[in-house]
Order: sequence, then structure tokens, then C-alpha cells
Amino acid sequence: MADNDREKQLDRLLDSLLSQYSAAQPRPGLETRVLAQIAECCERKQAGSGWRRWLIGAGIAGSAVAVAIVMLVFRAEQGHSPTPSLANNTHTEQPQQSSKTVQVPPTIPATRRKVAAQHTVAHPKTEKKNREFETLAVSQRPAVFPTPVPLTEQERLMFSYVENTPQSEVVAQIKSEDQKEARAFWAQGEPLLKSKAR
Amino acid sequence: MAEEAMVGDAVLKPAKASAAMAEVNSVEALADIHMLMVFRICWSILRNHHDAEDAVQECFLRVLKFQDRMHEVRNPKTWLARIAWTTALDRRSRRSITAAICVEEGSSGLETIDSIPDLSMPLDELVAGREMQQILERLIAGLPDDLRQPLELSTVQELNSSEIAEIMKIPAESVRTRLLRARQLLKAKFGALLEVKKDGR
Repeated sequence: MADNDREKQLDRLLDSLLSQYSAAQPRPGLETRVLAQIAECCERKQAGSGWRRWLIGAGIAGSAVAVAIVMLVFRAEQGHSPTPSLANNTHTEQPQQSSKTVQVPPTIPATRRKVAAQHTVAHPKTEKKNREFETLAVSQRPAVFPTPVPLTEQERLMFSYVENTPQSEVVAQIKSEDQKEARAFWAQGEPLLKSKAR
Repeated sequence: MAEEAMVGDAVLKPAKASAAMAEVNSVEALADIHMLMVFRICWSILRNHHDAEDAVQECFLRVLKFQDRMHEVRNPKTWLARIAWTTALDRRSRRSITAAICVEEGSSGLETIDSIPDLSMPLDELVAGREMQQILERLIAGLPDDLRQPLELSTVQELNSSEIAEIMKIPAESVRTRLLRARQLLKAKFGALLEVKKDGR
């Protein structure tokens, strides 16, 4: 009987204690603090997502630019690849060029003729080919050293003159010009020599 | 052009603001309704106002983190309670405040006996006294985890055994069994303490 009473008393005590075990109240202001923190966190999250969006956009733009550069480089390399066929076709294509181009004599080496062709007056149709030749001249290292330079306008005129004029006439002209030069030289040099002799 | 931007801003800004407000409002609503329950869960585990309040804040931050999945939640109350419970447990394990006591052996048992108030006092006064609460806290802290956890949750008035089962992800029957066992153990320990006190007198 006493044991039962004791059990009941213990049960009641335990019930009462357990019911108060978690019956605590938060201190005033907790809810305000929590809500303020939630709002602040949301703002930070919004700002963070904005930055993230910008970063993603910048990344996409950067990759697009990189792809464009790679494409350009790839195309440029593809443009270089048919160089051997172009080099072979230069002989055949030259006669087809417009009448504005200056005739390059066949005695000039092939490389020189290619380079000389660059200096022809650009025709809209031949402009693209000229550009290809330019890249060809840059990319191909010539076997001849020093590197052949393109003919100047005067040189080209001289070549055409020599081509179209009989040899005897050219020789005679050179001789007459030499004599004139010699006379002029001696005419200028005589007073100097005389003054030195004194 | 400027007009278009203005029109665009005028359309977009309220949309963004309303989305952000909706997010805040849903969490705010949860906080409004269940703040006390969350605090009590944290308090039942941590037994300290500062820690419990920190745990409450941490809990709602976790809720904010998982708010994208909030629409999938069937029972927001137990979902929130589970977050609060895990948050408080994490905090307790971090601080390792669990100080298991053994009433039968060691000096801590004797200290506990000394702190038992006079049993001739009426029950209301006994229960209201801080000493008895401290003894109960020590006894609960000495229980094994699988018994202590459902007991702690059961002391939160806002939760019933099926909700505790949902929080702990165990069957409701197991919760009831564990509660019964925990209670029996507590009663036995209390009985032993009271016997020792009576013999000492």
C-alpha cells in the first residue's frame, strides 16, 4: 500500500517536473532579431544572385569571344593551306591579269615575279589573289639569301625598256651617256686637280 | 530608349521585389506561427537561453537556405521542428555540454542527493523549486541517447508522439516504447535518490 502511494507520488512529481522541463519562454526581442536576420539574409542573397548573374554573363561573353578568335585563326590557317597550288598557278594566271599590270619579263626568278605581282595596280577581281600572295610571301621562306626584294617602278620601266629596245641601240645609248658623264666629271674635276697641283 | 528602360524597370522592379517578399513572407509566417515551438525544442536540448536563441536563429537561416523546397513539404510544422532539433543537437555536440551523471557511483551522485530539497514540502513548491529541475536535468542527461531524445521532445507541449516520430524518423510505436522506458528509468533513479535522502535523515 505504501509502495503504491510512493509510486503515485513519484509519478505525479515526474509528470509535474517534465511538464515544466521545456516550459521556457524566449526573452523579449528574439522574434524581432530573427525576422531582421531573415530580411538581411534575403537582401544579401538577392545581391549575391545579382553578382552571380553578372559573372555568368561575363563568362558567357568571354567564351563567345574566345570561340570567335579560335574561328578566325582557324579560317586564316585554312586560307594558308592551298599555297602549293597557288604557287603552281602563278604562271598561268599572270597573262589573265588586267592590262594595267606591268609586264614582268620571264627571265626574272619565279619568286621575284610573285612579289612583283603584288605591286601591280589592284583590280577588284585580283585583289583577293594579291592578298593571298602577300600572305604567301610572308609565310614562305625563300631559298635565296638575301631575300629578294620587289622591283621598284624604275627597275620595272628599265626592264621593259631593255626588252622592247634593240640591243645595239641600248649599247650605243649607254656609251654616249658614259662619254657625257665622263666629260662632265672631268669638267668638274679639272679645276680641283689644278688647285691641288699648285 | 530611355523610356523603354524606364518602362522595363517599372515592370521588373516590382516583380523582383514581390518574389523576394514572397520568400521572406513564407519564412516570416513560419517564424510567426512556430517561434515558440522552435525555441522550446532548442531549449529542451541545450538548457541555456543564449544557446537556445542562437540555435533558433540558425534554424531559421537553415529554413531560408532550403526554402526552394518548402513547397514540397507536407507538414511545415514537423519539418521546421526537425530542422530545429538537428540544429540544437549539432550545437550540443559541438559544445559537448552533455555531462552524464551516475547517481549510483562517484561524488556527483552525492552532490545530487545533497541538493534534493525537503520532501515534506508540498508538491507545488517542490516542483517550482529550481533544485528539483536541476536534478531532473542531470538525470535526463544521464539517459542513453535513444531514450533521452524522444523524452526531450516529448516535454515540448506543442508536439505529440506521432509528430515526434516524424521528426525522429522512427515509428510512432517506437517513440511510445522509448518514452515509457525513459520514464521508468527516471522514476527508478528518482526513487533511489529519495531513498538515500530518507536514510540520511
